[in-house]
Amino acid sequence: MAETILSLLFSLSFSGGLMILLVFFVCLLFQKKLSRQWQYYIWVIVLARLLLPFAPEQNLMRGLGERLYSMEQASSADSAKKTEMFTAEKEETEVLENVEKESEDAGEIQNHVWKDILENRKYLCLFWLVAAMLLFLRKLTIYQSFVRFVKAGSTPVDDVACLEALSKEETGLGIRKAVDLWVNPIVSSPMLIGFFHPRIVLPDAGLPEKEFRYTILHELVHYKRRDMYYKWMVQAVLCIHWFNPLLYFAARSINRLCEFSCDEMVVHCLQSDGQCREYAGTLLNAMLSKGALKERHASLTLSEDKKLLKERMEAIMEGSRRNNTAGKKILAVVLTAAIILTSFFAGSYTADASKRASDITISKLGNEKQEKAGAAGTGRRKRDKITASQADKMALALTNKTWVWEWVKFFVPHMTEKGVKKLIPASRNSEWAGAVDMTTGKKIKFTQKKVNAAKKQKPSDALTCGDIDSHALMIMQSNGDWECISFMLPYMSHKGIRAVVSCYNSKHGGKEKRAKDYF
Amino acid sequence: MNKKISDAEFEIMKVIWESDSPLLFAQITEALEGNGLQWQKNTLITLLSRLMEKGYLKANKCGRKNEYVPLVTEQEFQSVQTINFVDRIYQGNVSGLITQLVNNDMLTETEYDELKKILEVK
Repeated sequence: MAETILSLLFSLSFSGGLMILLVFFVCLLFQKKLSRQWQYYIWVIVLARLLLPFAPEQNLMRGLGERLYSMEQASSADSAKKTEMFTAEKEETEVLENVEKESEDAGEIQNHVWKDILENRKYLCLFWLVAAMLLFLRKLTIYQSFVRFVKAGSTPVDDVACLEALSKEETGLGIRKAVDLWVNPIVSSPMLIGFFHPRIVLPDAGLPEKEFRYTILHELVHYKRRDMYYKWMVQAVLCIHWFNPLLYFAARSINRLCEFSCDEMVVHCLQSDGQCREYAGTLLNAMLSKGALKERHASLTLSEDKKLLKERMEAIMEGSRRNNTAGKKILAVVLTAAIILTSFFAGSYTADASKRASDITISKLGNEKQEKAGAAGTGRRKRDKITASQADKMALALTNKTWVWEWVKFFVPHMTEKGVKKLIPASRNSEWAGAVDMTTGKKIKFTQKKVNAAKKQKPSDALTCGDIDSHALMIMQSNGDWECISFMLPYMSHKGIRAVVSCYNSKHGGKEKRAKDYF
Repeated sequence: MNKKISDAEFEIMKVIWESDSPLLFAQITEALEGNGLQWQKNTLITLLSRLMEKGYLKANKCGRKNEYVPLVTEQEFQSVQTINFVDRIYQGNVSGLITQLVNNDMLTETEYDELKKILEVK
């Protein structure tokens, strides 16, 4: 469970991070060619990538995840097996061969780091969850107390003329809900608060007619675009991915673009250059007002800081002259499609992770039927556990075939009492009974002494498919006899089978077998 | 009920008090227009919701429409407002108020008689 959540989270965060960089550079590259509105809403795709764990079967994160997973697997085996794993991987991935050789030492250290991290998954998962919830709670309470404070000190605007002007703008923008209008001298600039009962809070009721209109228009555009929900979505994503520094950067960018694109829309509603200039003046005046109370998280204020304001002024004046050509529209559409596709294929680790989780539970249940089906069809994961009865089967088959004690010994600590008892009789009936050790010239025998010694060795970990993979590869490397490992195939992962087959093929000159046939 | 209401809100309350049965939104708009007040739809919604927040009105769902019911009668409103007024302007001194009314010839003969009767009964 913890593993699934974490791999999902990290893969989402990582692919989201890549998307942030991509969108940022696209916006930078085409800043003049793309509308602010487009730049603002394109981030929705990034947020969706960060939130939704849906992805096609083949995607970038899954590939990365598998790589990480094999690293982790290598580190969990003991060092002898590890080198074997590395050789197996080398044979498989010839492209990566050189890189891997160079980084083998570094890789080993890294493996240990990964192992440590992954072993503490449960706590890591809990830590992440608690931090995310506390962050969100904090943001929520800060916002709530801010809203309460603003509401407490504010008075409704009773002037019907003001309300009428507000209603007129609402109708003009196609807003059906009535936004309330309040005044509170304590706020630093006009703002829109409230989720269900939206209200505009002005620092001062006595604004000149035009300034009042522009201020109202700006806030109403925020309301119409549901910027409040957008901002809270950003905050939620920020809480979930609190460990990802790229997100704080993205959130800042979205906040800026929110104001920019809002200005853009207001300018669009205004007709003349002169009106645009007046609108810019309104922003400036709002900046100069004396109110002290600011809210950082999710209220929508008219002006936030000086530097941003200067940029906004420039954008407004420039925007009043900007026109949308067909070329720009096509560019926007193409870029949107490209970014959506990229985000889709940046993907997440989810499909894979959930599948593995179900594989593990199946093997834990020890359901024989399921195991057989798994062995025949879908292929195993390196992590899947091998039961004692399965170890018995393999050890007995190996005894019948090869009769090399060292190879059988590998299974003994994991076998059942019954299975161990069968070993010595089986060795007497094996094809190789009475064979002689080539180096010493002595007859090799399975003795009770050897068996007992092997039995006493406590296994450090449960036997897994990954262990079977490396054991089979070792046997294949030393004698090249297919029969000696064929009975292990059902308990091996696809990767292990591929390694064994490629070893077999290299020993027997030419491609005689195909790994796929044994999956 | 002690909450103050604005002039515009008072206009709405007058319309609602005048009618015997609860009014629909459209009926309020119509009545206001009859009084020479042509307001935008959203202005009226805002004012109505403020009145509901202050506890002067209640909206009953009537199908998909709202039916506005007064929670305060005109008499109750007037008495509370009068007490507030006397408290604020005359520091609770009612005779001051009556003196002003008489001095400024604001009371007609018949009104004066009515007042006398009320005092005698009490």
